[in-house]
Amino acid sequence: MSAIDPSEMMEREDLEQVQVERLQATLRRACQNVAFYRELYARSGVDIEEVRSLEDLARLPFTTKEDLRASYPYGMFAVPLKDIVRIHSTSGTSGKPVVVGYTANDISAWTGLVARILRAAGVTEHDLAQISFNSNLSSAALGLQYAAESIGASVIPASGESVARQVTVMRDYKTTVLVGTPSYALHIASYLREQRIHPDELRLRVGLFGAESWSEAMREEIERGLHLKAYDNYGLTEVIGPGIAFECAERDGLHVNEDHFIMEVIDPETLKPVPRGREGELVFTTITKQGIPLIRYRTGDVSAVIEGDCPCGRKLARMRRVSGRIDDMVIVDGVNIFPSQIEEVLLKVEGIEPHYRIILDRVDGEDSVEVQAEISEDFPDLDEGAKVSALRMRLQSALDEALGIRTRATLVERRALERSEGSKLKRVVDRRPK
Amino acid sequence: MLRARNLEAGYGDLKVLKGVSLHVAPGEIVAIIGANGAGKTTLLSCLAGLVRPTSGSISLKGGDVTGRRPERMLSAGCSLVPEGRKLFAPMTVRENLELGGYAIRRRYGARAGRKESEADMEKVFALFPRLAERERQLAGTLSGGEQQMLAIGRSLMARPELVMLDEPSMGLAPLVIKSIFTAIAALSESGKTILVVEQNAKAILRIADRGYVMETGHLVLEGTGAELLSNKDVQRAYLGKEYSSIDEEREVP
Repeated sequence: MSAIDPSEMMEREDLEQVQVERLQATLRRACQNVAFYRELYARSGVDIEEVRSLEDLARLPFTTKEDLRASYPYGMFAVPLKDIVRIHSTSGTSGKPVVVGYTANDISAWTGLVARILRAAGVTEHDLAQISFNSNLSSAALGLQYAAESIGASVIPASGESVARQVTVMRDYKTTVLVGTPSYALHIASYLREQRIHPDELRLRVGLFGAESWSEAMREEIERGLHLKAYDNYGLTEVIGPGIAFECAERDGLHVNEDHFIMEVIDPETLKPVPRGREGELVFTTITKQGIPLIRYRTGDVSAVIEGDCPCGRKLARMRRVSGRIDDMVIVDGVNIFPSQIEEVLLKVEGIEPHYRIILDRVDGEDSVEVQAEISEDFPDLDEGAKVSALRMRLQSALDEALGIRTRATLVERRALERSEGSKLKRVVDRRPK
Repeated sequence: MLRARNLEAGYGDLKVLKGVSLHVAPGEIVAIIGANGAGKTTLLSCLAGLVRPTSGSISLKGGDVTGRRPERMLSAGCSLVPEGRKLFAPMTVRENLELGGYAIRRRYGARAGRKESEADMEKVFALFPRLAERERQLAGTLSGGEQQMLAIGRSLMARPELVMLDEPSMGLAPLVIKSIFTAIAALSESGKTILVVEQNAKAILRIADRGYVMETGHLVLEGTGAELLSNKDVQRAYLGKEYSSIDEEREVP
């Protein structure tokens, strides 16, 4: 059995044909069955018959989480309720929840997409997959469960169990695949340390983590703590749940399931597409979903298209791992800067830690950007002025090259900046007058 | 094999195809289902070159064939088995098949052409032994099912790679319909790519790799045969219900 679905290997031209066909059919059904889209397009004066190519998608207005909330609970459904076999919702912590209905066909298509995540990570029928997502209304746990079962793995649904119980099950049942959020994986790892349980007492070999954005540093920490290979996957309950994009063995970006979703990356300010490869806001259009078609949905997540072919052989385009939310974006003299871009630069410069602070100010009507970075533990000595100033110059030129705006790099002593303890950290200090 | 983008076509002021995009991959059986008057026959006619698209494009094996006439579509490897068979009733089975082999005979010249054509006819007889038994019988005296086999056989005589069939089960008795669908499956096994328009959605989706649902000039759904069979909208459309009545059934609070 081949691990890669033929749909993941389609030539670009064939894939685009499928995308156009499915997009046109989706637009038709959406307008026929969902008053929201009919009214939105009437209001914006667009005719869906003008969508003749993927480029034409850009003629259509976006949909947002606010639109979905306003339609609470069933306003976005494109089929009668009796055709819906499953309902998931977002947490609703920041407003009304978004309610997502799946038809029987949606569930089976979704299962196939999530199975791609598992296969790409090398999960087979010989694996025991323990699912630690907190289930309830959200889509992640069930999505992974159905998919793991579909490829014949043994599923251990452990949602809602305490960490102690998770670890007992993991050890006794010889779990090989851990599925959950990356932060929960870290939590398990620290529990192991506290209890003096060596990770090799467990049989974990693969971790599939999603539902939050997590850094490479976090990945290393999880892999060290649990002795497994950690894979990222991307999904949003509004769009479908897990199964939008996934990492293959290369772990160099996430393959987007383009035969089911059309990906765009836009500038959140101008709403125009960013140049290919540049960071921006992810926008998805579902082209096979029946329960709730979503057209040009703004995710609020920051990523970028990765250029070039992946050595794994999949032809599906790749997106960079999500590096944050657009809410974190700062605009400096009209240029959009994401803290993650700065973090990336810091990771590449030897001699400094990826801990930083960005201080924005305005001097004589011009924005100024100061990037403070910590000198690394293994850097010889802070007192050697010449070396420190050379390091600062290296950082400065790396920033200048990557950002396209003027910044001022400053170095601070190690441990001078605040550390993240799992919660969000304020990395940007904006002192500019409003 | 075949790829169409944004096809528009019609008759006079009447626009029948309103931007149809579809494809058929080599070796696939692809079905187009939909209610009467949805534009299915116009779509096949357009793909076969019988109706000129007013806009959009068609490509066959990677080459642009938009607006080509039917005989050139045929020589490019795309044949159409029309609705209602369109056989020559006063001619024998053999004569009807020979007519289908006209282009091949012309391509190879009189002597070699005859030999090639005979070999093709043997292949048709192998696929439809019933036609071999009735070789000298007049086409008009055949049963409906046999006539359909002859119509398919005649189209095969031109050695198409893509065979398009318009309503092959129309007007046939249930048992005969079964044999026609078995024949379509056998045709596919023999290496032909097949695009078929069919009212009998259930039967065709069982043997189709993929299908499209057509509604008033648009394709509104695409999926594997199994996906479409289990789709509630298809089940309702198959029963002839319109979307408006589905809306009425909707119990959206």
